[in-house]
Order: sequence, then C-alpha cells, then structure tokens
Amino acid sequence: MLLDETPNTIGYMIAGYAVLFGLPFLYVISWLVRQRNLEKDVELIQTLTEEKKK
Amino acid sequence: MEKSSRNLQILNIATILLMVIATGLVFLYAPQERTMGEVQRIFYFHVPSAWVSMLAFFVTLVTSIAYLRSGNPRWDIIGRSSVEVGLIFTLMTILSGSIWARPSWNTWWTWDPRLTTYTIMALIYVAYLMLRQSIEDPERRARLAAVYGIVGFVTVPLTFMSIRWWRTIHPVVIGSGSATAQGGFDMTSPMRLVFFFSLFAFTVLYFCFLASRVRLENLAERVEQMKAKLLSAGG
Amino acid sequence: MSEVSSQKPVAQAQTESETAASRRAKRPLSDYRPLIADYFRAAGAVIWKDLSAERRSKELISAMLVFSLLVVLIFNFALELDRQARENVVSGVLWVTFIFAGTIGLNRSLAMEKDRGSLDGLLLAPVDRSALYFGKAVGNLIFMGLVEAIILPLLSVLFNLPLSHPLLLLVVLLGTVGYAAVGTLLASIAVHSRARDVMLPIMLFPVAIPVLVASVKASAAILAAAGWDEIGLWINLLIGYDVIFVAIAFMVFDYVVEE
Repeated sequence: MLLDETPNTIGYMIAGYAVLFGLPFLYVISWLVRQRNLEKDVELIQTLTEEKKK
Repeated sequence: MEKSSRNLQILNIATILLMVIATGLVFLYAPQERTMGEVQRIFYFHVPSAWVSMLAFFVTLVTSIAYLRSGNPRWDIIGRSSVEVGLIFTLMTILSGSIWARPSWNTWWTWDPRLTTYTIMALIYVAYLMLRQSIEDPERRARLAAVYGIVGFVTVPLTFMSIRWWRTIHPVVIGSGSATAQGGFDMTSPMRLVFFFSLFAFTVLYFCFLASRVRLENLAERVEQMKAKLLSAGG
Repeated sequence: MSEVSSQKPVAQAQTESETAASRRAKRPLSDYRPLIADYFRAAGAVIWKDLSAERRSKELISAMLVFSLLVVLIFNFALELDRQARENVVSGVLWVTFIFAGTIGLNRSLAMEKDRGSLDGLLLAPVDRSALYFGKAVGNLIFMGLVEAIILPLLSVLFNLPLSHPLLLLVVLLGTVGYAAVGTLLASIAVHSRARDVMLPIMLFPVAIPVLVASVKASAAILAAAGWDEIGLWINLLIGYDVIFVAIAFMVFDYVVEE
C-alpha cells in the first residue's frame, strides 16, 4: 500500500545525481587540460628564452 | 611551495573522504521520503550546492573589497577564481533543481521568486567574467571587476528579500511550513543529519576547489609574466 | 580641456584652513562650508555642462525619445491587447520602455565623457571625485525624466488608461533615481570595456532587477487601486534600493576613475 502511494522517481534521481557528480568531474578535467596547456607554454617559453640568449 | 602543495593534498584527501561519506549517507542512510519517492534525495546535494555557490560569491565580495583597499593582486586572483567555482555550483544547483522539480511540481521550471533571483545572481556573475574578458589593461580589469563584484553581490539580498513579499511555490523545508508551498516536505532527524553533513562536505569541497583553482590561476599568471618578459627582451 | 571655474576660490579656501593650525583643534562648521560649497559647485558644473551640451546638440534626448517610441510601437504590434490585457500589461510596458531608453542615455552620456576627454579635465579639479558621479547621475536622471515626461502621456493615450496618479509619478521618480544611480556607476565601468555598448546592459539589467520589479509591481498596484499595504511595501523597497545604491556608488566611484 505504501508502494502505491509513493511514486517511482528513481530515474529522476539518477539524472539529478548524474549532474551533481558529472559537472564537478568535468570541471576538474578542465583543470587538468588547462594545466597541461600551461605547462607546455612554460616549456615553449623556456626554449625560446634559451634560443634568444644564444 | 612544498608546504602549500602538501596542504593542498591533505585538503584533497579530506574532501574526497567527506564526499564519499556524504554520498553513502544520502543513498544508504537517509530514509525514503513518502510523497515524492527517491527523487527527493537530490535535495541533500542540491541545497548545499546552492548555499556554497552563494558562499563563493560572498568570498568574491570580500576579496573585491580587500583588493580595492590594498591593491594586492592576490586578492583579485582569489576573487575571480571564486566566481568561476561559484558558477559551477550554480549550474549544478539549477540543473539538479530542475530535475527534482519535474516529478515533484510537474514542471521543469517555475518563475517563483527564489528561483528567479538565483538565476539573476548567476547572470550577474557571468557578466562579471564577461567584463573581465573585455578589458585589456590588467590593473584596470581587476579594479573594475572588483567594483562590479561588490555591486553585484549587494543586489542579491535585495532580490532575496522579495521572496518574503511574494507567494512562492518553492518548498519550505524545515517544519511543516506554509500551505502555499506545494511539494514541500517535513524533515525527520535522520534527514537532518544527512543534510547537515552534506552541507559540511560541500563547504569543504568548495574550499578545495577554490584552492586548486587559485593554484591554476597562479600558474597562468606566471606564464603571462614570462611571456611579457620574453617579448620585452626581444628585438 | 575644460577647466572648472571654481579652481581659484578653492585654492584660497584651502590655504586659509591650512594656515590656521589652531583652528584645527575644534573645527567650526564654517571651515567645512567652502568644501561643501565647492563639492556642489563641481557637481553643478558637470550637470550644467551636460545640459548645455544637450541643448545645443540634442543628441541624447532625440536618441532616447526615438528609441522609446519605437519600443512602444513594437509592443503595440507584439502584444494583441484587449482592454483587460492592456490594464495588466501597461506598467510592464512602461518600465521596459523607460529602462531601454535609460540605457541608451547612460551609454551615450558616459561615452561622450571618455571620448571627448572631458573626464580628465574634471578629474583634475581638487574636489572629491564623487562630485563627478553626483553630477553625472543627476544629469542622467534629468534626461530620463524628460523622456519619461513625454512617454507617460503618450502611453496613456495609446493604452487608453489614465497614468497621472501622483503616487504613480512618485514611483516613476523613485525608480528612475535607482536606475540612474546604478546605471551611472556601471556605465562608467562599461566605458572602459572593448564591447562597451553591449557590456552596460549585460551588467546593468540583472543588477537593476529589484528596481524594475518594485517599480512595476508598485505601478501595477497603484493602477489597480490596491491597498496601501501592497503599494507601501514596494515603495519602501524602492526607497531602500535607492539609498543603498547611491551610498555604494559614492563609496566606490573613486576606484572606478582612478588613474
């Protein structure tokens, strides 16, 4: 009887938590990408500075 | 440098731990809510996400004032990082709220005052980032953004005040509140425990995100300085 | 470069109060009078400059007016209105029109300052920088008010509804003050942006929502002859908003124009 009263909303819950976990996860990934790009930039700049000195 | 990355690591681990426990509490300990079923569990992350987003923008208010008074760019770095982190939590809040609303209120969206003002707040901080993007000079960019960061935050409580003066369908959570709130529910004490623990975990999560984002931003600043030095030394 | 004509008396007043060291112990009110007078004189100079420039060129008012008329026209076509709908919608249409027109005025008013370099001249004056803000804001308020004075009767005719209730005029005044106050501050920020025309509305509209909401709700309540409970509520919010944002603008304007 209780089951009759309470609607089955598990699907929505899963969708909600997909967002609640997924977005922070994607955000952290974006950091890793940005970090890698920046580190590449640092390397590039260092090589260019070396070449300038020569 | 060594010490700060150690501290960051500790913070990361603590955050992960807290979030794991919070998740466990939400799915294994919290009871099922009778009127709307499983979807109500979204509440345990949705509301802390909202509060934390506002905390983030409050931090920006503080750093903006600090930056204007001291001129120290460190404040500006924290401020703009906090806006970005805050917007992520804002997006989480809005999307999870909408998903929760669909089965509970039979609509994906409603223009009730709380939702409306929250969206406005999001737009303000998107505008903050756009403003930063559109100003060339770095010092001016930081200064003007700080002013907007202050102005933007002050309107938020003003728009929040309108919720007391409008009728709302947003659920009144604590206690069996008003009859005008459809889709509200009473919180029992296990629910309260899960909620407050989750709130704590999210707060730690925010600081963790902020710290990491600031670290990334510091790196970006260093790269900019290196670029500038390289370009000026050239010729 | 324009020079503020009050520079000589200001210099005199300053040396007078500086050399009287003994007077510093207890500062009589008369010491502050020259400073206060200079403040209002500077603000007045800004307002006068804007008004006389406008009288000659009429570029601001004409732009604002034409735009408002177009907005009203568009609303006329966009909304199919029977009598009941017209009553429901007129306060919203009113305020949307004012806000759009006001934004145009704000943009151009501050852009003129920056492009002509008259801002630099004003900044050289030995007066608290907020006098500039005060002058600009009042100028913008006046321009918006002039446009509103034309649009209000026009809308009254087009919508066939009376719009002359004194409380309504009060609400229009309070709302415009709030909008001009925030708008002038944000416009002076936006003027430094690459996308200056776009940046102002993007920054201003969300921040001005409390003014818009309170003004629309108050106007609607007045037109529907609602009780003072409701009307007073919104008017209080308007007044609160005005006070808060004028105060903030005064505190923060220095940082916007510092070089």
